[in-house]
Amino acid sequence: MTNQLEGMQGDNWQLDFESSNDAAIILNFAGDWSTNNNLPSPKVIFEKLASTPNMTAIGYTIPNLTKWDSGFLTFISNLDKLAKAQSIAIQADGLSKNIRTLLDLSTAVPEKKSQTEKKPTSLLYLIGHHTIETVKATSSMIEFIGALTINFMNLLRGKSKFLWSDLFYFIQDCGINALPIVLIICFLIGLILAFIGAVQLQAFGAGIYVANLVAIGVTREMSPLMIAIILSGRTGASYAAQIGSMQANEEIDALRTTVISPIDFLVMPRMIALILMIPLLCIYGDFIGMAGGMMIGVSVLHLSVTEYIQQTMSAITMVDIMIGVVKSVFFGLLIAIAGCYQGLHCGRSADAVGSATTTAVVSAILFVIISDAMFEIIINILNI
Amino acid sequence: MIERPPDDHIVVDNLEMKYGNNVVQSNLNFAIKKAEVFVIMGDSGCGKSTLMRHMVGLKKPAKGEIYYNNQPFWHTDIDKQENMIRNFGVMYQSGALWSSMTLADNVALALRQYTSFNEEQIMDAVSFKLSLVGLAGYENYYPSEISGGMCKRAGIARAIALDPDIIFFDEPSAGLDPISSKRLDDLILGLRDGLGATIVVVTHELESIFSIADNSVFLDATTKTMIANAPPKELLAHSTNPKIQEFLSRGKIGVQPQ
Repeated sequence: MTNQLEGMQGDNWQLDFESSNDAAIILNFAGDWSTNNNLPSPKVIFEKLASTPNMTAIGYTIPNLTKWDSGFLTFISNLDKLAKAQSIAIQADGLSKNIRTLLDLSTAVPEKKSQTEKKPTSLLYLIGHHTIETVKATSSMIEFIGALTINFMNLLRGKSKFLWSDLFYFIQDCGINALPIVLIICFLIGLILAFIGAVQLQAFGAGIYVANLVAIGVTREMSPLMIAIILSGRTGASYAAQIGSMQANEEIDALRTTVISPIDFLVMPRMIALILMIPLLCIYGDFIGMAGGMMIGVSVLHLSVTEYIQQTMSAITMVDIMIGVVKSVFFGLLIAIAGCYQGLHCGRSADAVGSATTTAVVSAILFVIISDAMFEIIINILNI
Repeated sequence: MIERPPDDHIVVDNLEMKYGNNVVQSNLNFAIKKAEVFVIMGDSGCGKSTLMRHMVGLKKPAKGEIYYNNQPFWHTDIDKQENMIRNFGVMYQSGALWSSMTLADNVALALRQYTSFNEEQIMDAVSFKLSLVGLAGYENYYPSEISGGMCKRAGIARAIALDPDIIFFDEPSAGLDPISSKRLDDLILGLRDGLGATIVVVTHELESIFSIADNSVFLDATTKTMIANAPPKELLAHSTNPKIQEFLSRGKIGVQPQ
């Protein structure tokens, strides 16, 4: 060896380099080589070693090594990997038996290749990948809706068993238990509508028409929409989380191998409960919203209660209420489909349950808004 | 498919299993005889549980077929497949009990669905099945109120609720105490001898393998195929494959079964 490498040292550690006769460089470790001791980078050390001409091997000795932990092992392991990549031999005889045992264990099972293979990130790949995934997701959603339809028809024909006890539980959960939140939201929505209307209409001396605005706005649009949004977050999310955690815990697999359809057993009671309850909540929301409007009519516009009620009754017909009710049934169906579909297609981890829940809420709200827009177009065309 | 002996209860024929484009195992060919305890073994991640999922109808194979009583399982219509599944009892690795139901309801669900028993008969059957796994008196407990090992045992009671022809166990003794584990081995042998059930067990518990297995298949994660199909004691005595020797002797090559 022609040139001697200069040693290195840190706070409590020291590293010296010795050349041996067989073109090997021996690394002599001394002091405390613990993780929190600001150890040198193996890459820097290797580059230093690699600058030595004709080096064929790296060896280690530890006569004065006072303390070590996994930081030292990681250092040696990384140095070994770098040397191996350059076809430089390793002489580990100078390390203690304990250190060698742990190092041997870390290399006993070869590294999984696919872990280090990077997926292509080109724009073309990403577009193609997302297109394929979207097509797959769409076809799986269509498949789910098809299965749901078949099972629902079987239920109507009495060909599949139905869990009535579950139905009553879900009716309570998505209907009765949702009454307080629907009360607050719909009351405030009616109140907000009345306030907005009052400011504008009072200027024309038409304050009484606030009752018309609130009645039509709440029954045709705001009550079904707000209840759908409340239930997307409340019930849709809970359906996705309940079914998703069952999927993560192999409970759905257990149903399948007992030849019990998860759609009959899990989806049907939830979906029917929601479809039955949402129109009732919608009518309830209509009255609460109008009551909210009335509060403003009476307190801000100084209308009498009778006057306000009479104006409301002249403003709306059964058609307005029915439009809201029909919409809400459809929204209920969409929320149940989004929640149950995401739950059944959930992965097998806590993280997957979380993302299934989020996706269920987001997709339910999206479906509801899109279908509401479509409803408005149809209603406009039909001139109802 | 080649004509098989009539006592072949299950035949796995040229099976290939994939997750996406990733081949888990391929070229799997083995037969399981009626009323034998068949062990699927191999190192972690080799695809043992995946093979079981293919055998019970939860995952479709990429290639090949599984035959039950010489009838194809995958290349057939859904009604026939469901009829075959009705004869299976499956015990999952985690127990997979339905968390919203009591242990009694978990075991009773299949009985209510597929038998004409009245409620009293169902409850008698449930109590007996729970007592077989050492859970007598736990009928009204929910899965969240009992330990992991107890959930696993309740999962076994549910798997045997309908006295199935074929019972699949996915790592049954993992996480159980030695006494429960021994009881479970006795139960498996009892089900085989008493009910004549064919039992497929996915496990790598050596003690269990040597005490219950009539036959076995060894799946290898490296070559992604089966590397042996013989009784485990025979494999330990005669196999020259170092991996099998190392596996069956827990790394101590040369150890003979007791």
